Amino acid sequence: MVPEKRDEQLPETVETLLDWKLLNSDSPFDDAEFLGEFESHAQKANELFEKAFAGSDFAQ
Amino acid sequence: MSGGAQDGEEPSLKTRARCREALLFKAFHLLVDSWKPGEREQVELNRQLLRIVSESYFKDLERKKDFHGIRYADEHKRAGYMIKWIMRFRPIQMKSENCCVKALCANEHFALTVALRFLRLSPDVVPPSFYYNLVYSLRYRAIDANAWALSCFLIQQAYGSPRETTEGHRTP
Repeated sequence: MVPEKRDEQLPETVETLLDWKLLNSDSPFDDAEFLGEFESHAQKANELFEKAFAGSDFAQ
Repeated sequence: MSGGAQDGEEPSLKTRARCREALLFKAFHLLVDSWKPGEREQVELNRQLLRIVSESYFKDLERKKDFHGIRYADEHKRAGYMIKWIMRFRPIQMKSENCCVKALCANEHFALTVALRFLRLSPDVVPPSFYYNLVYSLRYRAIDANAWALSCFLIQQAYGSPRETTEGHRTP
């Protein structure tokens, strides 16, 4: 049976969906922290790339 | 983050985008500085595309934060959304027609390097074979920011130290 007022059956469901908690951070992004030691991070990333693609013909 | 806001007031989206653009600019140069001579000359960063990446990232993430009532996005969303927009606009351009594989995959490599930094994850803990698959996925698969945010959450759980992981949270 179709209810006369559909809205009467909806609020609880809608509220539950909108109240879904996602992970979030309690602090703003910190540029200085990101760039601190980035040079070393980048060097390790390049070494990782070299190892990952050693002998590969990927994308050639 | 710097950006000309009063105490307690969030800097405007445009200000944050310009700050992030500057940060990505520095990050790119730090990344290619350790490339071999002959490799680093094969690529260049297009500043106009980088600006679009940065502005799109903030506009996109702002919508999600607004919908869910999130004040600050967590590192997984930052990483996932940044991956999406770097890959969408590919700000690193090739300057040669005979590039090395690192130059060919420069955007994928840059996106992952930035993402790992967002996750505070050192690249030396990531297995090379897994990294190879991540680059492949960015190159050939459809990219969804939320799916990559979930992937980043799982990568951090798999390879991060206990301090860096987020035990107890059910959803990324």
